[in-house]
Parts: sequence; C-alpha cells; structure tokens
Amino acid sequence: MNSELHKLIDQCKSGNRESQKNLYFLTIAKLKMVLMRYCKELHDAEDVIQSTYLKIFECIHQYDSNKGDLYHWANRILINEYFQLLRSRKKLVVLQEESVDEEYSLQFNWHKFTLEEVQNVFNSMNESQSMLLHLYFIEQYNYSELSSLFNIKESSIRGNISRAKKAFEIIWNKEINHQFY
Amino acid sequence: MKKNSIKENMTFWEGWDDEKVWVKIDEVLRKKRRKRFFIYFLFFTVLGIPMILSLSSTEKTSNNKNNGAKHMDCGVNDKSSPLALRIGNNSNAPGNESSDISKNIITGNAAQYKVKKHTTSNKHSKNDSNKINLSLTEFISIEKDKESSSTPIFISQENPENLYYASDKFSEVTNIPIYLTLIPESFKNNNDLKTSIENHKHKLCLTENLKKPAGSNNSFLTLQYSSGIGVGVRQDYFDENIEWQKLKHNNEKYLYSISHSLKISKVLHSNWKLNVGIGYISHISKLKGVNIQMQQTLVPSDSARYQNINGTNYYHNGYLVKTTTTRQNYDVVNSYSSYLIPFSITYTKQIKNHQFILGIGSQINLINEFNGYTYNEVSKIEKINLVAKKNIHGSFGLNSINTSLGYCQNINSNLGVMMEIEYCIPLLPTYIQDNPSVQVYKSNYSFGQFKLGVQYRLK
Repeated sequence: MNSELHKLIDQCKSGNRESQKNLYFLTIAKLKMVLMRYCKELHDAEDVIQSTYLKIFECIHQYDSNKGDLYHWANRILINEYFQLLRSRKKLVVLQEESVDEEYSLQFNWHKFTLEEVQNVFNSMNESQSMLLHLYFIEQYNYSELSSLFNIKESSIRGNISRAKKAFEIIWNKEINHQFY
Repeated sequence: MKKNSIKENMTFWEGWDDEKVWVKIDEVLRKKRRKRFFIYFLFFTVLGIPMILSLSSTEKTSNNKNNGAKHMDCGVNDKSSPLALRIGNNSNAPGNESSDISKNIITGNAAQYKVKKHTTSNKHSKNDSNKINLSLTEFISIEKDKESSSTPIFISQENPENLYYASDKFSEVTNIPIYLTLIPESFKNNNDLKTSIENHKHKLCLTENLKKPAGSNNSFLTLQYSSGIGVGVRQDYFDENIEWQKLKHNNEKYLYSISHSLKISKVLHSNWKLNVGIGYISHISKLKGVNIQMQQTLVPSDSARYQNINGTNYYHNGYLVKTTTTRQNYDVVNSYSSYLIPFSITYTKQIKNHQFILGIGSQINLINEFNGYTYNEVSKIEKINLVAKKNIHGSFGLNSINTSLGYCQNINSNLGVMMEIEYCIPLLPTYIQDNPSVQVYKSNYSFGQFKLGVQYRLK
C-alpha cells in the first residue's frame, strides 16, 4: 500500500492528472473527517477542500515521505486553509491575551476513550476552547505553531490552553463520567 | 449536553458530492495549466522572437565583418567632446564589434581606463544615400585622481583596415584611448576623404543625441503598451428558421470592447516597422430576452352530469385544466474574451517630436472564453461558460484585419505617449457552440477602438 501511495505521489509530482484524481479520492474521506471537527458550514467546507487540494497538488513536490505521513501533511494544509478562510471572512475566533504562571495539567487518558466520546465533550465547550484543544491534542500542534495560527503570543496560547483544559475536565467530570461509569 | 452532535456532524455532509468537487478542482487545475502555458508563450513571444531577430541580424553582419573599412581619426569633433566616435558601413555590426573593441582595449592597458558607455544608431548619408551605423564608445579613466574621459584628437594618417588596431591610439594628455572611427565602404572611393567627412560633420559630431527619440524610425527595438475601449456590431450567421438563433441575433446586436496589448517593434526598413506582441480583448454585449414557460395541471372540482339541447347526456369528471404561464425577463451581459497575438506593419512619419503612424495587421486567437447567457435549442435563455465546458470553438488563425491610425508624442529620448484609432474587419467567424450536436452560433465582431498607450525605446 505504501509503495503504491509513493508511486501515486511521484506521478502527481510530475503533474499526471489521473494520479491527482486517484489521490483525491484516496484522501478525501479522511480530510472530510478532519474538517468536520472544525467547519460548521457546508459551503465553507467545499471552499476549504478545493483550496486544500489545489495547494496539495501545487506543493506536492515539497512533500518528503521521510519526514512524515501524507495524511498528516495534508491535514496541516487543510487546517491552514481553513484558518485562511476564517481570516478572510473575518470569522476567526479571537483568543484572549492571557498568560499563566503554572500550566494546568490535565489527568486524562486520551487513548482510553473513543474520539466520538471526546468529541461530545468538545462540542459542549465554547468554540475557541474546543478548537484549541482539538489542534493541541488531536492534531498535535505545538505552542509556537498555534501562536502563528491564531496570531497571538505563545504565552497567551499557553494560558488559553490551560483554561481550556480546566473547562474540559469540569464538563468531563460533570456529564461524561455519569454515562461511562 | 449535545448527545446527537456526532449524528449532526454525520448529516453535515448531506448533499456533498466528491465527484462534483473533484470536477471543480480539476477545472481550476486546468485553468492554471492553461495560464502557465500562456505565460510561457508570452515569455517566448516577448523575449524569444526579438532575440531571434537580433541574433539573425548579428549573424548576418558578422559574416560581412571583414568588409574593408578604412580607419582614421577625422578630427571632426569638437575637442571638448568626451566621446569616442566610430562610423561603420551598414554591414558592420555595432554590437558584435563593440565588445571586441572593449576587450582589446582592456587587455591593452587595463589598469588605466574602462569603457563607460557604448551607444549605437543608424544614420542615412544624404550625399551617397548609404546607410551607416554610428557607434560611440566613451572611455573613462579609472585612476582615482584622474577624472578625465576620452578625447577625440585628429590624426592625419590612415590606419590599417582592421578595426581592432583603433584602440592602439592613446591621448598623450589623459593616457586613455582616443575615439575610434570607421568609415563606410563607399567613402573609400572618395578622393578627398577629409572633405567627405567634413560634409558629414553635422551627423558625425553628434555627441549626445545619438539616442533617437522613443519610437523613432531608426530605433532598434521599441516596447509598446496600450489599452483601448471601443464600440462595434455583431454580424451573425443565423438561420431564419431556427427560432433561438433569430432571437439571439435580434436581441444582441451591439457590443463594447476593452483591450490591452503589449507589443515589441523592430525597424524593418527606414520608416517601416514590424510589431509583434500579446494582447487581450473582451467584447461585452447586452442580451435582452424573455423566457415564457407554460405549465398545465389538472385541478379537481365537482363532477357533473348534463344534457345538451339535443338531449345527449354528458358526464364531466370534475377535473379542470389549469394553465400557468411564467414570464422571465432577462437583461444580461455577455462577455466574449480572447487572448491573442497581434502583429502589424506600420509606417511612421516623424516630424520633430511628433510621429504619425499608419498601420495594418492581423491577430491570431489563442484562447477564447465565453461567459454569459444564450438561447438554447428550445429558445429558452440559459447560462453557459464555454471555456469550462470545453466546447468553445474559436477560430485559431487570422480572424481579423486591423487598420490603425496613430499619433505619438515623444516625451524624452526613450519615452513616448501615443494614441491610436483602430478598426477591425473580421475575416473568420467566431463560433459559439454549447452542445456539439445542437448549437452552433457564428458571429463576426467588427468594431472600432480608441487606444491610449506608451512606448519605450529598448535599445
């Protein structure tokens, strides 16, 4: 499978239209799953998917399979494109400039629960906190990447994440615990 | 707690079609590819063709390089002139030799001087009706404490015919090369060479104005940008028996046009120039029309039995026919755009700083695009984008003859402002075809344009 994917990527690098189509149909389902976590409107999703694939095909020669998985690379492009769209439509959530002396540590075993269960808690949180935790825990963005994505200081990102963690724990303890235990 | 949020998310993609999205992406990719091709083409047209032309002319002249040309210092310049002057016959290539001269000079006495400026121009000798190339090379001293330039000094001797020896002459005062002089082949037969040069003094002593004004007859290459607006009419080839074609012809007659073009001009012979470039033109026309749609439905009412005056019994089932007529008025704008390669031959008459230009040319269509509305086979108006549908059938070839009358005002030696009136006579019709088997619509676009632009002399 991997070698086939590599072959497909190589063909895409040479601009083969058929391979581009195959790559699209191979990856679209996963990208849709990722986008669904952030995007709330269908026509926005269509714009994001379109611009993501255009970017993927344009920059595929920059992709290095030794550095990481194709899906991970494509996810990053997708999220960047989504943020770009939010910025252009002035819909990007504004995070408060706040800093914390001590980071809140969340006692939560992510691997114990399904993404759906966690997703339910995320949906109960406010939009900015849910988005931050998504990016931080699920997409594995680090502080500096988040800081450039939201265009605020790294210390403020730490503060916001800390606050989001607290909120997550409160909701988790209040509601999800009752269902699962 | 939103328990059904996951389900909501799953239904989020309802109405989404991966195939449709791919078609859109593919369309954009294709447009990008086409744009890239166009840029390459543009690059080749703007840079490649002039380069080939100049290379071919250089090659031609380099073959004749050894045509004998006498060399002497004529002393016709004012002594204060800082320029070195070379006069060659038409077969001597200015560019080719100048580099060799510089090379020779620099290897001869490299530490003391360098070439400051080298300019060339074509001149017409009135006496013997010969065309000669003037080439001026100015040298300056590179020593810090000396700020002197090359000075022309009269040397009353004939040097060897080879041009390269010209650099052997140095000024005794400044110790940098004196100006170089080559004279045309025709001068050889002249008994009194000095008199002949004296006759041409007014031409040869040009020290500053060797660069001709922008777009001047003798300039080598000129870059020209112009934008224009215009009005015109569509002449359609339509079939009287086909309703939608008749409707389209009657409702969409007049057009407005906007154009941009970038051309490069090369002098062919004295006042004649060849212009080649790239251009974009968009024709905008208004389509007024009506869509009338009739729909009949059965409406239930009371059934009835009745008898007519002849006593015949009838039964009415109670269903009545309801007819709904929908009328939609359209007042829409259609645009037909083309990317093209215009080429023309112009005749320029220059009077001081004013140029009057007369031109005739044609254009090759590259990419055509139709955006707008047209009637379909059932005479109903529908929107089409013909590039996206790949069904455009623009004529790739010479589709019109353009005649133009222009005026250019030179601002300085390099730059000029121009205005132009152009009329385009169509040669081949433009096809608009939505469905290969059903719709073919042929039109001719004849229009006049007023253009404003600038032209810049490249070398």
